[in-house]
Amino acid sequence: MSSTWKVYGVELKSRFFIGSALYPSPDIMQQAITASKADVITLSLRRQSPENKGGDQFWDFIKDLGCHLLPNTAGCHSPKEAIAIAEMSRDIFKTDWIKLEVIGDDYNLQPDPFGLLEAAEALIKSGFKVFPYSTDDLVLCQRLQDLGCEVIMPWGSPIGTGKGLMNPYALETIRQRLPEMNLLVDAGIGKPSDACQAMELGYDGVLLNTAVAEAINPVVMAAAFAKSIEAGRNAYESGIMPARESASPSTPTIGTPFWHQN
Amino acid sequence: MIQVSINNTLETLDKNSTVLKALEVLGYKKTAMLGVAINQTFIPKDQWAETQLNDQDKVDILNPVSGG
Repeated sequence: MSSTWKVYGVELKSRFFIGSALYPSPDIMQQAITASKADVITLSLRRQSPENKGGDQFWDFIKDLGCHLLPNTAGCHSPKEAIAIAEMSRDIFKTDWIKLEVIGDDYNLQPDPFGLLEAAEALIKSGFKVFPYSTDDLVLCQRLQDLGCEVIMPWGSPIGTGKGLMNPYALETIRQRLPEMNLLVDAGIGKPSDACQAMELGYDGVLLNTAVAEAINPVVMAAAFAKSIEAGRNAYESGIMPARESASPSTPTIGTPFWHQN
Repeated sequence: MIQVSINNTLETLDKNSTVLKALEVLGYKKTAMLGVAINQTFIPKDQWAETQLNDQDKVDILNPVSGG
């Protein structure tokens, strides 16, 4: 099976993108990210007062991991906010990768498709490599592709719900209609089987955070997700048998004992 | 003197204060990994020394945190 893949020209071994939030401690975060074998970790920017040294301490833990950084624009509700955060992230983290989030609804943290397109267009023109967090709307994903996004990250279900893939049909349609696009399911993954399902659909990767960080044992859960993502990818590349409506015996029928004796 | 909102807290600064001066007065370490925006517009680090703050500006000072 393929051992590496490329995102915006960068070769990656793992198809698991992992978040750095919500862990019980920085030490457990480090252990879980290491266990995940992820090459890419997400992080963010927030307001800090001068006496709060949390940001610098967090950075010390992150830089030791040696992963590619994918800063996000979480919490932004307008293209202007998202663009400002993206520019600050590029300045601070020295990467032109940005996980673009423009939230349209506070209740389910649903992306604003119109704001997302506007921000993506502006950021791409400014030289960013945009990883848009989108809904599973095919036309939105097509528009993002038209703008020049080389990665699109539709949601499985709303952030932090753990409901898994709420609309596999929509996700599969995007996969079929955008065959060359790097697609990651981002958000809503609750169990390793959800991640495996996304990979079996032909998705190129999975981005998740809460399901690992809020597990009773995040380190073991991170390893479980790594295995499920690899298993799902291997299954996809191996060719999954089509489902059938009627039974078909797997044991040879020729030579069946006691055939027609009764 | 001017009044400027720093991370949503009103601060009084000398007139003609630059971003760099304001960070120093407010106690931010020079070595910290900081990003600055004025009225939601990003100010690159190499412009902090010459960018002046104006009365009623809204300044955001950010640094790295965990994220998903």
